[in-house]
Amino acid sequence: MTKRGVIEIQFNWIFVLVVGAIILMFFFLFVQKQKGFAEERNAGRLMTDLEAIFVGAQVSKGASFPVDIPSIPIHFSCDENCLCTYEVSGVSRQYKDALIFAPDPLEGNSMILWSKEFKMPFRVINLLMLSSDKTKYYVIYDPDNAVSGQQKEVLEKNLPQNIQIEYFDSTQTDQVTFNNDPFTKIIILGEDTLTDFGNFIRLMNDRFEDKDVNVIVIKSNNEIDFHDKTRATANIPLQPTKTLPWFDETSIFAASFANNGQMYLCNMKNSLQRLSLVAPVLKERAEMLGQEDSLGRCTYESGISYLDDIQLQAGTLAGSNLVEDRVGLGISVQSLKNENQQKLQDNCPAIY
Amino acid sequence: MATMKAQVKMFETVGILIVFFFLLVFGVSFYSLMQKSSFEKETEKNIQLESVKVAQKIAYLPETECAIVGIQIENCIDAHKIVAFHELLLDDGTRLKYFPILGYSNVSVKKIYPGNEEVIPLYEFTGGRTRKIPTFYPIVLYNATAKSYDFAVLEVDVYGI
Repeated sequence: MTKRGVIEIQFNWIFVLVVGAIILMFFFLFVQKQKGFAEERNAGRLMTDLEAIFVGAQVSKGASFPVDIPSIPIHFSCDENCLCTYEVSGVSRQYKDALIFAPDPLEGNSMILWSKEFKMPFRVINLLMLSSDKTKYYVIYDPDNAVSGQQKEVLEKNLPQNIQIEYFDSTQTDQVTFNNDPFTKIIILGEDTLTDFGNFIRLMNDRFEDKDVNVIVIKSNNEIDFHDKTRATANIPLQPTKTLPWFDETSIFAASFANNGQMYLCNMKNSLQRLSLVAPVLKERAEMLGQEDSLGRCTYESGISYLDDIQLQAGTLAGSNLVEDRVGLGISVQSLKNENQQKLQDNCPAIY
Repeated sequence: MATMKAQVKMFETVGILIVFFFLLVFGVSFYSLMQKSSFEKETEKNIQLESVKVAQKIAYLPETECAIVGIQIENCIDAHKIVAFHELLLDDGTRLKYFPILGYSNVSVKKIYPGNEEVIPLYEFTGGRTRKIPTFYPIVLYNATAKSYDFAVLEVDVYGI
């Protein structure tokens, strides 16, 4: 073979190799891109489906039902600016108008949805509480304390049957252990339920090292203490983060399902903002009802005034991160409730 | 002679490559066309889903719902509440606060029976969008002073891209 022929054959092979590599590279990149795109699309579809489920659950008051989900973690969180999002496989979405109280991460084969009306005294919004078959709840109560015992009964009676929950009295704290669940919530009913709270927290730090756990203490002065710890800050032990008010049973349920104090704060702030939006509609309606009553038998001045107060107080409380005095709001709510009752007794159209 | 042979071979290889890349480009453009059509279908489906969601939300908003002695009535809207709600929504600031709930949509209630047909507008925020999917829901309209019910239709037009 001549020297020229040898070069020609070698060049052919090099040419085939280069072109082959380019073609292979092209397909490799194409497949990689498609894979990423498909993953993103699936996460997006799952989130769209979740959003539809949330809306459906939100509008069905008091309903509790399980929904099968793929066993990938869904992360729910609220940041310092109260931007609340849920995230699946790196794709996150803001949860718009829904008020969701959920663990982080929510993992398992079944997601449990429970909606509960937030009333002040009229329905303001349905709060949506989420759990899963792999989320554990422990309730610790004091059997010798009437309030604590009563709160335990309320939880037992109202919480969905299909959540993983165990009730222990204050002498059985040894049974609060890590159960291989991605998220654990410990609910202590009453500030005096545990004689040595500091020791209990130390014990929980040992048992839940590197795990997601949240402890709340429901206090008799209508306040909740949040002790937060997440896997992201595993080196930081359980520590008190926030003390926030509770308004009614529904807000206690909400705190029990919230991932941390920030999630509870943001959602309750939004609930109060919604309250300050609903109140003026009822006020306008009451004014119309008063004008239409030609006999002057049904007057709505007091109701309108209470609605005015509720609008103002709810807005102020929401704006102050729930630290402003909430007693005034409670009084206005009760007064409106009484006034509405009076309207019904007088055979007048109700205020709400 | 050998150069000629090599040139023919080279042309053959280049020809194969041209045909290959031509087929590849054709395949990719066909694939992207299919993707585009499936994306359009998905967008359409999402707008329809959004429309159902908005209608569901409207019917269950405390600002519109009928509640008799505190008990909410299904598929019922309070006639006084929607008038009051609409008046408040005329304010841009208030309407903006309802944007996360109602999005780009046009919501109205059309009273059908008894009496003359009457359209009560509720919310309008199109954001310059033109493509809409209308959805109609039969409801009853409750009048608290007359204690009467009228037949009506809740019309929700959700605007897409």
